[in-house]
Amino acid sequence: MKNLTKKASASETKRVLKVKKRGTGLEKARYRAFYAIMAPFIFFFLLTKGYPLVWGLYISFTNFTGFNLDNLTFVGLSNFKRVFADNEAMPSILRVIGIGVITVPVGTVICVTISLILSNTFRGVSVFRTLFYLPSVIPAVAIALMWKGIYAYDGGLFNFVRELFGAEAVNWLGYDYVKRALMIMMLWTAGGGALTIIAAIKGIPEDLYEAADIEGVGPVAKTFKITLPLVSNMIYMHITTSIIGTLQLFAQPVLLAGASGEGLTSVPIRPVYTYLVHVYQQIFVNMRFGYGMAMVWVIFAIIMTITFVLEGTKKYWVYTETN
Amino acid sequence: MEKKKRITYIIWFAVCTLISIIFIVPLYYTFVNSLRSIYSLPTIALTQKPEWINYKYAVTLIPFLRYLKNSCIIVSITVFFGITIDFFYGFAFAKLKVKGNKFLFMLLLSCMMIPGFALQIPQYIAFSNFGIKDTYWIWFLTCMAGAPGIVFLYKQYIESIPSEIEEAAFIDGCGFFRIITQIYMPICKSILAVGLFRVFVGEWGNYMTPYMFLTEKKYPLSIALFNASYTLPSDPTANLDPIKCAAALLYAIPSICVFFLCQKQLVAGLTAGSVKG
Amino acid sequence: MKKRLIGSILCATVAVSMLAGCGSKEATKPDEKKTIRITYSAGELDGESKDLNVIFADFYKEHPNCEVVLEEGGSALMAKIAANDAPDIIRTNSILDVPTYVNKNIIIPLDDMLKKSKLYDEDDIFSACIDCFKYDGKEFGKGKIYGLPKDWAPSSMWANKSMFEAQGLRIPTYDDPITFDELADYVKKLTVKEGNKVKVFGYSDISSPNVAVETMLNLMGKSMYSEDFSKVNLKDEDVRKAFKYVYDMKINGYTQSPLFPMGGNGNSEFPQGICAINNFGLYSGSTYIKNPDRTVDFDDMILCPTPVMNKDQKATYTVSPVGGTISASTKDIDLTFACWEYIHLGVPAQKRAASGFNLPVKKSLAENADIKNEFQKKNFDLTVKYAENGSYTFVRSNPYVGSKAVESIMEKYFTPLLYGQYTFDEALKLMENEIQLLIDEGRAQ
Repeated sequence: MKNLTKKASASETKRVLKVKKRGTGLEKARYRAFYAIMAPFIFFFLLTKGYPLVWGLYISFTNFTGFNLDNLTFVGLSNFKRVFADNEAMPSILRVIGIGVITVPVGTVICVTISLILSNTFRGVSVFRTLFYLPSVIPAVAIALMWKGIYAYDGGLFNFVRELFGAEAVNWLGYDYVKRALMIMMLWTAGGGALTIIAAIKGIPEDLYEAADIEGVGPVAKTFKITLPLVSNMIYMHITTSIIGTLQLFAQPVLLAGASGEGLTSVPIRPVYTYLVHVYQQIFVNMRFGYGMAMVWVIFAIIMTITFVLEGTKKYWVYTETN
Repeated sequence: MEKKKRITYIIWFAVCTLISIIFIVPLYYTFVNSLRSIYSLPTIALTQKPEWINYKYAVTLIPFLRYLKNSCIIVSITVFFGITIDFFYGFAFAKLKVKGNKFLFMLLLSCMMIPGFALQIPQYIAFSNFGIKDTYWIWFLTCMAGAPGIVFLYKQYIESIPSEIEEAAFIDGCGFFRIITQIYMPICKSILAVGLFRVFVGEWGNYMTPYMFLTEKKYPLSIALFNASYTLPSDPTANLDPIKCAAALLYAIPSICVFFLCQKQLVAGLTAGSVKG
Repeated sequence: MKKRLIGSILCATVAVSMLAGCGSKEATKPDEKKTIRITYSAGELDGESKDLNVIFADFYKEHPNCEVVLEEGGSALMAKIAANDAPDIIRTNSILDVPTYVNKNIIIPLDDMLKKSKLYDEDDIFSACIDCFKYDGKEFGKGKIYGLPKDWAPSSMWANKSMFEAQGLRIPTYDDPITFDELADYVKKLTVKEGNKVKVFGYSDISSPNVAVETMLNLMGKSMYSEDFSKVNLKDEDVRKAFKYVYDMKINGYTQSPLFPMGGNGNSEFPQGICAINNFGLYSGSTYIKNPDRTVDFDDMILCPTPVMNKDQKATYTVSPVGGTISASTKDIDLTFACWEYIHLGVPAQKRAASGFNLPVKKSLAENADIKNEFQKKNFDLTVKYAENGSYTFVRSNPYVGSKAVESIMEKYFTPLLYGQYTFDEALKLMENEIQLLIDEGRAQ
């Protein structure tokens, strides 16, 4: 009842305002404000990101190797053709998609569940919030260091537990288990997005819940019919950024399972040799800058496509103020 | 009623504690390993006496105060822009749906889809031509170009706020600048807190940009864990993992403090009053 | 209210930091302070201090108004070279990096400046040290000198006497080294397995497969690469045997591998009796002393030479020390050379010698090193004698392909091979194709 009247008054106001809009020059003001705000964005973006992007695109059509800037030869699309012919590039994309297919949904579910658990005002909730959030506060390098120790063959935590239960110790960073190991490490930090979803949950007006209580709606239905739809915008954003981030998985495999080489040039073992690791290897170890840039643009195109597709499905399940 | 609430609370508490243990165990393990001697092998529990000296090493083997100062400079620049300029950008994308909005937003998002290191080589050439190669101006420039993740965050949040607010304010004669700063910012306190925290943690742990562009004097703390900073002069080949573990834990402390501060904003949060009023 | 306070504090901080950033930029102009950029890390320069002002105190006295600045090497180095902005002194691995750097004209020869230098006395330097940085485009030991090591040690390994004697095996000595065939036999007997887990490794070696193979081939006078480095041949009978040797060690668990992992690099394991032979040179000695979990007696730790190919070969060592070279794009060559000279032949070199974990470049420093610990001193003196009297050889390194690239390829195929993803010949063929591709690309420039 309460929300019905709220809806009625809202649409009435909208109608009134629509008439007034043209009169008050809101459209023009919006236009001016937008470009006033965006002007610095456009300038700095072109400077710091636009120019490098274009340079990268140009380089992907040449045979730049870091040393032949003075006698670059144009090689047309051969770098791009190579991306598909290369026996490493395509499998590594499939690999990273395979990892993503598990970590993104599971991670999102974990994140949303944690947000729901922690969005009330029970005693001690802020302590638990800190504890749950702790994993995402620690920098990636430190996390990899920690988990490397946990997965150690001798004296590592997981093998210790395995031996407690009578199973044999296993090489967590070997062929059979490394994918699992990487995913566990990634899911451990899944609670990171919870903060934004808790913020959104806190933004849901109380009276919606009160109205539901009056109508006798149970807690489960409340969650699925009120809470989740109203934060679906944030969940959508979380899923998009997760997908984009996972497809670009690079630092964690190298830091956790890197074998030869030092620093970021170590090669992780085959099951977690992701696309971006391959790109990094091509650019910084094999010095094939041109080819590396072509690879970057290929993954960029793929991610762009996926984002567009997601944006298209938005109207089916995301509730925003406009629909 | 009372009993039901109590039982709910106990169940909730038990579940939370269980999950907390899962999240804490790796940290506990790292703590244990930070106290073992640097020549020993990784263990699950301390067998020898704890070597607290590792913590001292963590702070003395690198010019800790200098790196800390540098980290603070970098982080305050990024955080400042992360809660001001990025909020403006987010508002513009969310509420000012004019021609060009979608295009520019796609442009911004496209930055998220390019791995950082791919941009760094041409950036390095450009920055060294401008003469700002080894300074903090680099962060100024990149922040002014907007942090895609944060702007995306603000946009999504602001989009779910009804437009009636600004339309009403506009009719009352407010310019958009005032609308953003005096109306929207107070409403979005909780998401701004999230943004602040996200930017802080992101930049506090960012080692790729300093690695590429800075020389040792300007290093922030994030590089120390990452490269060969942790070496004992008297024994360069020693594997200093325990000291690195100690450093990792010390390093996480400021992030935890910032989280506490931002938590309070979250709890204060948004009330329904703004929509009704 | 709180937000205003935080907001104004943030504004103030940003303003101050921007001013600070501005300020430092201008400060360099009026002073005209010259900077020398080097890619060493602070800890490895002098063995005592990490403070640049202390390490370079004497240098600054002679050359006021300049400042040494440390930078990142590694992958950032390649980007900097691509941007034509390389650091002045580059930390270089002599054998692995010099060929590619010389081929791409990244570093300059130092012969003329060394002739004029007061600190450089050719007779007082171990010949292996000079030869490892002397490169003529094809081989080491001939041609121009591109740098000097910061310190070095002939390759040696550690053997556990009691474990050897328990199996009735003879301990190698500098006059009577062990052969590779003997080594293969020994490690089989020395490895102790419990089910599928290895309790004691016979051998610990962290070098990449291609280095291990090249070392073996080198001692036979052969190599993976053709004379002019334009081809790589992994089908040759001897090359195949060498790879098989490494493969057999790893697959049977005689040495560490992803199938049978070992926690550290051997230096923590050897003093705890977890491995019987540690192929890790004089370096490790100093770690054994400090290990609180050590269970092996010092008398049981014997330093001996690395294996040779056949019985009548003398003990031969290979070296691949890390040193400094001067980049071609350095702006003030005299100042840079003065700094380079200081680091490698001046006061820091003396301090590095005193710490005793590695040999200094100068013979005089080595003979007069004052090492306190008995165990270290004994092995140090042994190594100095070996360095002066032993024969040495250098592993061949391809100037067209970066050594890291070859290592990555090895890693990419050797590990799956261990897990049975390829047959032995398949893996070799794939490795050969990829390395050949890189060589062809490298030569096409």
